[in-house]
Amino acid sequence: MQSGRRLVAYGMIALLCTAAFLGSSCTSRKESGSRVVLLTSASVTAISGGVSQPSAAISLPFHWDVEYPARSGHAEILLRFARPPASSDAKAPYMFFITRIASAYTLTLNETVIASAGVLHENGDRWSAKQPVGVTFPASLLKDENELLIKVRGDAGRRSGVAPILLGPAQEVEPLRARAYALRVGLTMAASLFSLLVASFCLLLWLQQRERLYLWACIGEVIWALVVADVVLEWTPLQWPAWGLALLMIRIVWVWALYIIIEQVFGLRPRRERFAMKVIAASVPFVIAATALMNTPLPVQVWRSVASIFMTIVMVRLFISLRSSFTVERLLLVSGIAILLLAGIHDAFSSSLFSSGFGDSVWAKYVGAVLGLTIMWIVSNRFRHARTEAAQLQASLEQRVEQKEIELRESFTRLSEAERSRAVIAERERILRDMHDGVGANLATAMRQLESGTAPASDVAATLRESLDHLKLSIDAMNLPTGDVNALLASLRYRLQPRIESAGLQVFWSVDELPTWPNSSDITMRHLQFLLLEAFSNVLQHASASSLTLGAHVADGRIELTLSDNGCGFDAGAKALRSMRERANAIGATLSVENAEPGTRVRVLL
Amino acid sequence: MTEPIWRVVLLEDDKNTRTYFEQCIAAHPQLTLSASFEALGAARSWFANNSADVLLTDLALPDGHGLTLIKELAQRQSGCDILVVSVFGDEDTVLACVESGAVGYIHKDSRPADVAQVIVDVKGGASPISPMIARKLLQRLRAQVPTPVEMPAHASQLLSPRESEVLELIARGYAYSEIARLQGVTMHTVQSHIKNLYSKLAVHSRSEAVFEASRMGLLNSMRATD
Repeated sequence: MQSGRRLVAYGMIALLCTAAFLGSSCTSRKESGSRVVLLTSASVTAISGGVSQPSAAISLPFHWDVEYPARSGHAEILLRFARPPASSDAKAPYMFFITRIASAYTLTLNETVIASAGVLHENGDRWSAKQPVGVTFPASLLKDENELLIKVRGDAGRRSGVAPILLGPAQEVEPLRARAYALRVGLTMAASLFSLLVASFCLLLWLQQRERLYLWACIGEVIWALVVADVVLEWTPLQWPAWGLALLMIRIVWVWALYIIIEQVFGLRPRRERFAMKVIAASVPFVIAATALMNTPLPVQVWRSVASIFMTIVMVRLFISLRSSFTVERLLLVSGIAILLLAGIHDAFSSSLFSSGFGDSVWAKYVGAVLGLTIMWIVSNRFRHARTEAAQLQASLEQRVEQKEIELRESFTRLSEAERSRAVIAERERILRDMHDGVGANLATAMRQLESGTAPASDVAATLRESLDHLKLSIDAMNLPTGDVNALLASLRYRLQPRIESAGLQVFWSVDELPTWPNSSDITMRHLQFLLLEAFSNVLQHASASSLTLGAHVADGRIELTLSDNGCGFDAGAKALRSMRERANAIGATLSVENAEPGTRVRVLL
Repeated sequence: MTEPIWRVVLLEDDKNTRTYFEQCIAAHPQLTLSASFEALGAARSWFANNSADVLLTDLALPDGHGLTLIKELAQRQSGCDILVVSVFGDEDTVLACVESGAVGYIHKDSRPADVAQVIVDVKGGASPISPMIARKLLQRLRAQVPTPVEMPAHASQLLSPRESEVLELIARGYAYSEIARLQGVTMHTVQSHIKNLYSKLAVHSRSEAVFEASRMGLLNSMRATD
């Protein structure tokens, strides 16, 4: 699997290299038609820094930076040539074609100015003359012996100069010009657009996933698109050398972006290497300042060399590290950068340091597309992986949530079971307490009455009846709505009615619609029921009363219950009274028992 | 004017209780015991050929539930008032019986005279009711307010303002006589309110059953003829 991918990767690189080579060989191929002549012999007179240099014979191309390094000035190049082979049509126009002529220039043929561009006497003007030049002129201008005078301005470090000149009938030279134009300008624009495309692709991915790699890939590609586009820019936004320095500034950002991409793919680089990278980046302002102060491109050239050496070292180290930690992504990246680096070195040698390559196309701008492709592949691959991982994470998260839900449901079931059993226990306790206080006590009394043999049957029956009443009240209590004192009073009266009637008591019932008793519970309701039952029983059994009045009203927001009789008064020390007080305390009610002469009045304030 | 004699049938499986009630009935001049059963089957086959004015029935019987007979009689013999024998008269049991067609209940521990009196009162137009049952009735009838459109009987039609007032007073513990005095009517009027309520409740619960049945698609044919 791994070796298979390795093979694919190497195959891809080989393919890219071949494509780059073919592309470059295309650009350097020159076709000479039968009537097209190549003009290279010339004499040059230069004025540099106000000092006139002696006239010298040269062979084009003429490269200012090579001939007069780090200087600015003007050069006059004179070409003498015989009448070129005649065209079939004597009146057909002729054409000079020059792949590069820079910076500002004037072309004078036999003392007739046939072309000019830029401002010849303004050093560093914005005319950058990057595109091939074709000059068409009437055949009548040609003589048997001709003089072509080229005045050209040289700006230090701007790659000024004149490439070899093709001369021939326009109809034969034009196709050569058009082809060179398509290769240099068209292809360059395409490369720039491609970089922009990769940049927007990375930006779109970055908007979805804020990955550092995507952002820096986007920044790097945008800068590359700009740098490549500069190759075909005729008018620069700034004068020379300001524009060159501006390009240098953004180029270092590009290098920085590339370094970050390397770190994203290869992992964090060693500390020393990162430090060196920072020093190289940070030195750019000083290089620019030095260039401006010394008025020489030397610092830039030195800086470029150092940066190239540094990048070469980094590349070598990356290649070495590939042996121990191979991934397709790493191989592709390091290969893409290495190819670009090689192209850059080629460009530097062929077109900047030696005259012979002047006017040749730079390779780096095309090879940059290979790196762009590589970066796009890496970024999209990362994105795909991240998406897959996110999907897996989501799936496992969902699974975990589901698991948690099941656990929660189980624990909820356990809890509610516990709650239920707790409620059952509480209810059981309540019933037991009721039995103990009510029915149980009554049954025990009835038993004793029967066993003593002295109690009349009616007494036993009364005790048992009381016990049944207790039981019924207990059942009512289960159904009483919590806090409904009206219901509690009504049930009490209903259950005691037979005993009240048999005691011959007249009842005066005066019960208002009462509000809900606040903070009440089943237990407090039960206490109140027992408390009132005790009070009623007391009247029934001990008071010998003939009438009983129950009042239930609201006074000062509290429920006030009063039970008055006209009997013989209350035994303050009675056990019943103690029990009533206990229950009143338990429910936070105020209990008062007064002798009312005649009778007793029991008052409960809830 | 001679007072009518009411024919009473008794269905009670506990021998002691049955004997007690038989004695209570025999002791009252206006009551006569037509038949006495200890099992549901025997009572049902008796009612297939005979009729009575009052049925006194227990609920838990050895061969079935008393509600079965209550439902049958409520459909077939509207002249027979049904009273349920209950130890506690707890509201849930009683209400279930009332919804099936019973007119009230008798406590097992009632005194002999009271037993007979309840029967005679029922024939005179009364219905025994406790405050707890009155409260439940109010709750149940008032809870019906958001009635589905198809429901034939409406809650507000079920409870007149007067009946509602009577129920509220009973729920607060007032006796019939006190309510009659408070409302300026006779005790008989108050009692007939209760009996009306009971029969409305039975009818209501039957129509509710019809509604439920039609909702479950059992009465599609009926609806098609509407």
